[in-house]
Amino acid sequence: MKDTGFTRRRVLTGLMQGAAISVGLPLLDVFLNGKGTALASGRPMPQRFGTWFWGCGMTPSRWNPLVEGSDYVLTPELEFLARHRSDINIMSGFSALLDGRPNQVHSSGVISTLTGNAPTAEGEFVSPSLDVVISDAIGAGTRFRSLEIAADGDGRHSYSRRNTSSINMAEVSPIELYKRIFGVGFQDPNGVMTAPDPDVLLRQSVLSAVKEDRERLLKRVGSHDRHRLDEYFTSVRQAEQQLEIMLRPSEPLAACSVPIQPSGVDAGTEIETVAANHRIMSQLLAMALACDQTRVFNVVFSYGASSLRRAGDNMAHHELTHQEPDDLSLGYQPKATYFVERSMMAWADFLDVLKGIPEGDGTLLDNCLVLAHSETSLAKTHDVNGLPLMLAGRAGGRVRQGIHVMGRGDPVSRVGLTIQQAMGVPIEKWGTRSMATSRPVSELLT
Amino acid sequence: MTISSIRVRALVVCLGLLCVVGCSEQAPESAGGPVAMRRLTETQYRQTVADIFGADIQIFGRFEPDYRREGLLSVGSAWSSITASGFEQYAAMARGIARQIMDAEHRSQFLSCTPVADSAVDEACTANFVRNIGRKLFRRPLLDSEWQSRVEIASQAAASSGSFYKGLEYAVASLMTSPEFLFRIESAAVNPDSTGQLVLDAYSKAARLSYLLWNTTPDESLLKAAESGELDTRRGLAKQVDRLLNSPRLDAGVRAFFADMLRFDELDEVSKDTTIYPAFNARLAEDAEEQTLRSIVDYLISKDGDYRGLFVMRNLPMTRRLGVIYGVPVTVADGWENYEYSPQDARAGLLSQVSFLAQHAHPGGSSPTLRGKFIREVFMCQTVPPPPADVDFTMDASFDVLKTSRQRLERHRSEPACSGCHTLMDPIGLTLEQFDGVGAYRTRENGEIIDVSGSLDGVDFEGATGLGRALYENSAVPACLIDTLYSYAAGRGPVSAEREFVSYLESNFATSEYKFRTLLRLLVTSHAFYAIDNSVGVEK
Repeated sequence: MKDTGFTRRRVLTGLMQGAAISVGLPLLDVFLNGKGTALASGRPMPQRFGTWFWGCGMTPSRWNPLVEGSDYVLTPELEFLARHRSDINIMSGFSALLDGRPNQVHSSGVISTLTGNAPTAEGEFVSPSLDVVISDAIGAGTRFRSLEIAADGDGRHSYSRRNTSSINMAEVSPIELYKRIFGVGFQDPNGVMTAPDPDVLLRQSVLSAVKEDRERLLKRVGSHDRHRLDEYFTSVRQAEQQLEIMLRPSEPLAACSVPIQPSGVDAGTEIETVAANHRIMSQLLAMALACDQTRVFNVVFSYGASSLRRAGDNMAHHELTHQEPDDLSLGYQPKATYFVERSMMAWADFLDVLKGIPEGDGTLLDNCLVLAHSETSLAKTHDVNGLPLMLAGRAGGRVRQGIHVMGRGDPVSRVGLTIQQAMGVPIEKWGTRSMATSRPVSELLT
Repeated sequence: MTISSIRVRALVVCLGLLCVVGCSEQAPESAGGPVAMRRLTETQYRQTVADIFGADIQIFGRFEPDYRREGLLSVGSAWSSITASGFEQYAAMARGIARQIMDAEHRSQFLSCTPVADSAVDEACTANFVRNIGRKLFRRPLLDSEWQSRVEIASQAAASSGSFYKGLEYAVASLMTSPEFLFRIESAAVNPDSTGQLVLDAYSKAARLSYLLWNTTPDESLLKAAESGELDTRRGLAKQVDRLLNSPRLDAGVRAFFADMLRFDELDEVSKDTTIYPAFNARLAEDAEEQTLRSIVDYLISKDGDYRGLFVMRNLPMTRRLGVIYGVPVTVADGWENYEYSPQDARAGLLSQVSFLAQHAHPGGSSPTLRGKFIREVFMCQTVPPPPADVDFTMDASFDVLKTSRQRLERHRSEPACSGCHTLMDPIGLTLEQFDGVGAYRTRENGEIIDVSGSLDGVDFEGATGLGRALYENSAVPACLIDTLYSYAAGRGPVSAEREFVSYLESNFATSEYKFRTLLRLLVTSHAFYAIDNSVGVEK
């Protein structure tokens, strides 16, 4: 509570007695320290973590580079990332090790990557996804614990989960996303802070009353439901923090400028619509990061078993991966591969957006770490060996970029462990059974 | 398990045996299973708000996704919690609702007292309001601490805003973000009339009944029956049950059950390729869902029909939009009219309806496999294993020249890894091949005559009408309905101590000629339905 300029009770009392509260205005001309590596207050630049997911993997022979290190040659499906080469790492050959558990198609690969555990049932998360673990560590100080977007139009398309049934639902409409971030409740960090809104203070009282019943309720229910109530009360706590943040004078952020509200957008799974929605929502998301509204995000370009389709085609991406014959002269499935290439282009677009916002002496991307991943390598056989993974951004200098790392069948949990360590989660060991590991991918850490 | 509960169970087992011998009409006693804590589903939340505050109150916000488990959102609701972003939304919805009900137009209907002044704190009137509204929202009277804390908020807010009504807004918002409103948290109490057996307490009973039969919050009469103890008596319970079952509001409950069972929440995800199926769009999908629910309610409730008859019924409500897909004339431009299929028609029953045929198909084609799988899983409660993950089922170019689904699937089934499970699904699904990816009738696929012969568990038949008849005669079908209904009602599948009660329901369902309304009555008037044993864990 040290950062909060005033307590609720004091301000309420003040308001009730008709006293005005004055708050010092931030110095708008001084955003950063002399070196451009920290905020003016000397506090470090905010660090962000995100995931970027696309469905139905890639074609191993056209995606995996052959040479390790920084001198690898970009392969046909990675070519679209040429302009970002020095800002990303390619990781090939890391696998979901299922230890004889059934391959839950389109779910085992992604859950292994995000939790280090192979699910025993479809969509089972026995532990929180990577982004939730990281947001528990770094996300508490911002207005949103995390922000999720799904470009393919279905809000349930989110892999951000605290457990199997707690899904952090994705925003699918650019307009709704805009309103959520920049609508009511948004406080421009570079704007003029006025007297605290009495509504915010009263909303805090509303929440305290809700919390008063906690102990009594927890006693009333069994352990199965106690967990669920605990999760509910954690969410109430987060809502309280949101309100506290709204009352707190925030530090000016040079990169933050409020975008204009998007309008007239369609929804659906047709590829051009998805690509367009993805672009607009990425821009809004990036600005939410620059304005420090959240430090954790998850983007789904297409969900596992991707339903992306081309107008007029009778089969969507997922069906194509299973039903389209290999073109014998090309050696791969051309129609299915089209969607892999569009996915890589969209990922490149996303990085353009993050790099398009200057921050400090670099760009927003430098203060991010973004894991791009999919649920399979070759979708045709639901292969969870050699999953395609990419890591973009420098996490404020803690991660090295521009190299290709070969996993050679190592558990994919090594990547998750590396990410957590880079983001400052105090963790030595991560994953279960054959995916339990204490070996980060040290080549990636500076 | 404690010693006393073992004793109780032993007693119950004895009583059960006695009943088998001496009183076959009486439902067997049951030691019960655990209570449930269920998050209101989106439709329940909406209906609850409409019933408490009026149908004109709008809800602004996005709901947490409902979660399906063991085939039902209702079971999933006993597993889901509320995430931070979900809470943000519930809190915003609560504020929006509170604002509307306290505006000049609405507020008088919720107040039974007049505040001393519109601009000031009035604790007595506030307390009256909070206790009254709180009882409806929490489905039980509030504890002192619960209403007092809301009165405090309201007074604080009234003082700082200078408006009595503004104050009440915050109190309502607080009640509506409480877990006691957002979740239905069941409690057990010792059965007043017997053995130490735990049963649902009267208010939990009222909520279970109301959400099961009307899909909404208990009304005043039910709350009063809970308050007076009436609901804990056999006669009082029967009286309330009959009132609920004889009300037109039963339709909403029956619709909610079948919408959950048939997974209609997923129907809005269905997108079809518009170049192949130009007639299919979101409004058509809505009509298709409505058509199915109307036909079910009409058949099971208005006509008090036999559940199995759903698979063979020939009467179907139509809109003009649906008429385009069904290829039947519809005279009304807007709204519904009945269409009666003749016994010679290829269509009869639920499985020849567009909602089913379009949902279980691909964006650009039909899918005998998806249709067969759904029939096995949802109407027969059987599990079809997922396909082996590593099988490569793309075919060589010669696959492309195969004209019909049957030919393509036959080729597919020649793979030993695939044949085991496809044999469960395809012979059923292929009998529906005269209906394309949106459910329109056809006799040829790529110029080839479609063969719709098939079989179910050793019974051979032809086409959709034959499939309907085969399901009508299959004993797994009514048994599956009972399991599904039980899970839907209790928020979990029956535990082993409840199996005897389920068998009792099965045999009585048969005796009643599979009348759905009779089944509902039997379920909710039986003591066994309310028996609680919290020492039994929920199946993980």
